[in-house]
Amino acid sequence: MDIVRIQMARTLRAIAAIGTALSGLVVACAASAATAAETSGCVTCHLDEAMLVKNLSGATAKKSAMQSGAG
Amino acid sequence: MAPLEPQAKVLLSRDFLSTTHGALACESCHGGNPASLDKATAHAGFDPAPSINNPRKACGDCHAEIVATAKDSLHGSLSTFPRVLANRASKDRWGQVEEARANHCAACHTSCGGCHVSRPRFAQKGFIQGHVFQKRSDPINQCTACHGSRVGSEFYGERGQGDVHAAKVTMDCVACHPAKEMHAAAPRDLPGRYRLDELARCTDCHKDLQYGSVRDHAIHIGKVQCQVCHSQTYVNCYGCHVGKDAEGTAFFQNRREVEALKIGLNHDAKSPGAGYRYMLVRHVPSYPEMFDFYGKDLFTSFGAVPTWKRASPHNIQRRTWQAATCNNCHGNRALFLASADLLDFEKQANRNVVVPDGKVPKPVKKTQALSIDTSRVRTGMVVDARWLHENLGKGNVVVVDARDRAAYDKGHIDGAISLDPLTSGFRTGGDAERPFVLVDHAEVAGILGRAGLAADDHIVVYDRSGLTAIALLAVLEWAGGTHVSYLDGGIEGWHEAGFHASTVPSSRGTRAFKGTVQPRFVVDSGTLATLLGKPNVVVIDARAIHRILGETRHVKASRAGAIPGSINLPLGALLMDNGALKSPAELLWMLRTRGITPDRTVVTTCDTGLAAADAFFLLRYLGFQDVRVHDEAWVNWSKTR
Repeated sequence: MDIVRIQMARTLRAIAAIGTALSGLVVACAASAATAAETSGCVTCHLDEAMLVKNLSGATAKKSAMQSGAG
Repeated sequence: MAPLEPQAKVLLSRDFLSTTHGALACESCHGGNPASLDKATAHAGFDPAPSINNPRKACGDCHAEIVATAKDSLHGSLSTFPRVLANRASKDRWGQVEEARANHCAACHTSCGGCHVSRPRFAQKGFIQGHVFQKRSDPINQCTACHGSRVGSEFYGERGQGDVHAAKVTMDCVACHPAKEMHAAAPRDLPGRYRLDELARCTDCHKDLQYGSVRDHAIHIGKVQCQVCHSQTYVNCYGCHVGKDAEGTAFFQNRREVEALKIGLNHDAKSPGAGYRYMLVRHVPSYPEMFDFYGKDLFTSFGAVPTWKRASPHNIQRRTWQAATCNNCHGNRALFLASADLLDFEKQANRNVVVPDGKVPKPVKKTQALSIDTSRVRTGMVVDARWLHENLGKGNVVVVDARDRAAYDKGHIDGAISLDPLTSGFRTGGDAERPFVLVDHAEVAGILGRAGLAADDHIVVYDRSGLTAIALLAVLEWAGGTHVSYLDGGIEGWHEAGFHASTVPSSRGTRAFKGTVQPRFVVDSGTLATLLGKPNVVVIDARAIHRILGETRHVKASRAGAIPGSINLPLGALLMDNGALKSPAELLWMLRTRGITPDRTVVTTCDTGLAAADAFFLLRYLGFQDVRVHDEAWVNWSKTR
């Protein structure tokens, strides 16, 4: 039920923006979004540790080397 | 807390997908293009921190009431900083002050995500539990990731004994600081965080103490802040220097930290529930040139705000040294903030905080004296900077610098040799079958001999924090050194005493160490198991409280936990932040409150044998007759038991 509530909240915002004429389409989009995280390209990569290691091998910390002492 | 590896910061767990938040499309919070598997295209328009950049959109649809106030909470807005800075700043240079504030002070603020799903931005981010949202903030990865150096270290016993609320009743941060406080909107222009009505107070739980059975509560309540009697020493910071490096990345440098406890006059009795006269005060690292990178003479009214500010150290104990007997506090001028404690530029700022001689409570005439026997203290095991300065180069005194080589090369006590116990081969490596244990005596004696040390030298060891120097002293005692001493306060104490450092390296050539090994100083896990439960044996676990609670574990330990029947006494209880020691009387009294007395057999343990070795040496210094190190420590114990 929580999922439905969250999606409905987002859906209602969209409905207000595009008008009642398109509300049926928006509800349909929301229904498909309930499984979107699982099927999206984001998750494909972010569940694959080996791929992340490969893609982030050059990543460096943004903290300055001059930083010292406690925060 | 070590930063996460880059991939670990953004690695989802499959568990997340079955949670409420996991059912949402990623792009509904973060934007980006989920249809693309190309990194750059997929991240076009991506927002890594939506709850910071747009909390209403990211969280407000479902958590509207919380977001409405939380976005203006102290964590979200740091709203007291502009007020404090404005009070100190020159009005016509506010733009430069504000630029510095935004680059440095504001880097600490956090929002929904930094408390409920990731490590905060200040702690270099990264998912906790693979992006599974946590209703209750994680005290290690979230709260103390930012509030670490003071609150976290104090609470979990990385400095001092730790906090009784953590150790005895396993309370975490949220137990005292619930959502009601965390999500409360801070009124605009709030003069300080203690003015927030929703702030946690001791009396929220400890009600009506003045009517209870504790006589001293009835006497002191209303006059003295609770922490004055119930806190341990805490760290005071000096000189926060800020700027940007060659890449334009903002940084700060905290130049000096001093562990101490000071009582000041309450200059802000208007704060809710703070009508008392005396309170603990902590030095904050402000100074007039703090923002000079952005402009000169920005703080023309520096004296408008104290630099010794009300403190609420998170290291509460029921019994403390200053409250052990009336005259540990009454008449103890050193405990109360004096003009002499102030730097030249902050006299005006703290005029209402300094306790004049006439306001230091007078000694109590009839009071029960503490009976502490210090006659067994082995005073020769600790020397101070003045003694060492007078004895440098005399007799058989040899000075050893136990810091790493880079620190030694930057400046060391003249004539000191470099011997870093962490890299010298005294212990097996982390990947050994029995990791981190002492190698055999012949090998240790060989290392010491090649460093130019002999067993009958008077070997004085120092470092910066005490941790490695004292561990080396324990090795020296085990290996047969007959006269070894710790330099109280280490290199900082040396500088504080006004003595100079040298950059000229020293060496002594190879000698034969010729020590007689002292096997009675070390016990293995099998022997320790036979000692557990014996009435005259105390096993002291010198690790921080979060290890004992099982909230963290050493990377080489098989599991989290502690040896059954051991008493947790974090090393910080024996050794102060800068490697300085409290008086033997105070240490012996503190140990006695925990049932640890010199007549008992004491076995010290920790994760890898290092802190246990420190505790071993310090207990021997205090006159304990039978002290032994559990050298295999938790890393090995946890593998087999």
